[in-house]
Amino acid sequence: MILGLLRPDSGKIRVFGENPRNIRNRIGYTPQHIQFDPQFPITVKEVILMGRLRGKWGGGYSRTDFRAAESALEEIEISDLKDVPFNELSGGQRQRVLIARSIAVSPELLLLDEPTANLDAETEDKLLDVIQNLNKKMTVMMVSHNLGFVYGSVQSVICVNKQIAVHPTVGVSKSSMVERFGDNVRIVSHDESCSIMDETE
Amino acid sequence: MTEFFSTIFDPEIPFLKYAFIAGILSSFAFGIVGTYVVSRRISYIAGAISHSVLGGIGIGLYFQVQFDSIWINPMTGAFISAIFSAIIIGYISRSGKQREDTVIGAIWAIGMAVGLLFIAKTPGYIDPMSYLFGNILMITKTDLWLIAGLDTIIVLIAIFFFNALQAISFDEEFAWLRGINVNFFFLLLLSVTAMTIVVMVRIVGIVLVIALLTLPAGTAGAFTRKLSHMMLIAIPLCMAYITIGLFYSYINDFPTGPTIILISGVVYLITATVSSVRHNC
Repeated sequence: MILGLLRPDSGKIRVFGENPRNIRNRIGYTPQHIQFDPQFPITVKEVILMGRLRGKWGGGYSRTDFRAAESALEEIEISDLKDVPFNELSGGQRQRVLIARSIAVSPELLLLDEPTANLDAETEDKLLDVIQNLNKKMTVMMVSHNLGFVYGSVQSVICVNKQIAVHPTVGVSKSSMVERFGDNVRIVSHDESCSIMDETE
Repeated sequence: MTEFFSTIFDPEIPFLKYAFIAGILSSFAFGIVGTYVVSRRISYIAGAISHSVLGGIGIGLYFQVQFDSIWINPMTGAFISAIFSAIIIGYISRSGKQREDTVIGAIWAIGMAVGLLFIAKTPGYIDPMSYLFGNILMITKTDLWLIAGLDTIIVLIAIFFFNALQAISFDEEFAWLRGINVNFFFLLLLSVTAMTIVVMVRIVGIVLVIALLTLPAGTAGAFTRKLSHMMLIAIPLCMAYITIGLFYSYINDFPTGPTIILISGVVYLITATVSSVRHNC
């Protein structure tokens, strides 16, 4: 709904004070999955350049667009993959390319849907560093089902389970999480750099 | 081979020359539109459009013969039915409320049925075979101009809208988020496919047009991972298929359409098999 893809049943959505459909190009978005045809002939660079498309008719890419795509590639540290066909990448690499594509938009708000869903722990850590860097320049909002995936760098958490609660990360207590998600929950303490798991069975 | 080429340029026998030029010219349309048809996976939609064209041709023939109609003839009938089917399939596919493949099957069959009914009721004997399988040797100078016009439109669209078409074919949701008019481009793609089919039905016929639309682009896909390169490979491949097909049908007195299709089909199957075997090794 923030992206304008879905319309609310009732009420109004305003992003930057405007109808989401009118500010689509100020938001960068990385979906959890894209429905993509594994045979589709396209290179990484071409996928990232899609982030620079604008207007109803698309048009051509300018030198600024190519530069933006290059710097998005560098930011995500995948410059070496730029001429590789998208369908030859691993799941984690694809995820990074899609993030690079949403950065190429030069957005004010970056939405990431389950950015670490298919990643191993090491790639996940790397990706988090990247996201932290991006956060210096833009607002980053991400969705995660993994309750453990709320890290030291995250400034506030929105917990959604039938009801919505917004709290700063320091304020998340074990009891509030249990209240919201049931008692089979693993709590990660955010104020420590080393995560402490606490199994509540 | 020399005899074949001297015959092509023999001013006394224009039909072979026209067939040759038509083959070269139509390769641009087949290569470019075919690349989109293959990579966007709409070859079944293209199949339904091409078969629905028979309905338009049948109605056109009937009105032409029965009522001496000037405006309703097989060509205008084909054009209207192709655009009409493209819009129906496009609209239903967009709305997402019906199963797309069922609609494709319905349009496909209804088009054929309407065509055969009208052809049966048209006075005099009309052989539906020539519409189903085409005859490149019946190409006239007007057809050549028509193909050249179609090529111009297609090349312009492919150049100016390349990025948008690539985006909507690869990831429609993201293209929409970037503000691209995705419905317009999807319908544009279907309409251009429909126009190509109408013009090309004259050359290879309803049944075989789908082969020239998909096989050169499909073969090209095995050699490259870029949409633009796929087009650039598909065009000369298509030219080669048509020229070699014409040559063989000329020296062996084979029907031209099937000869061309057989060559492109065999090359495609070999390429596809080799590339999957290589992929698995």
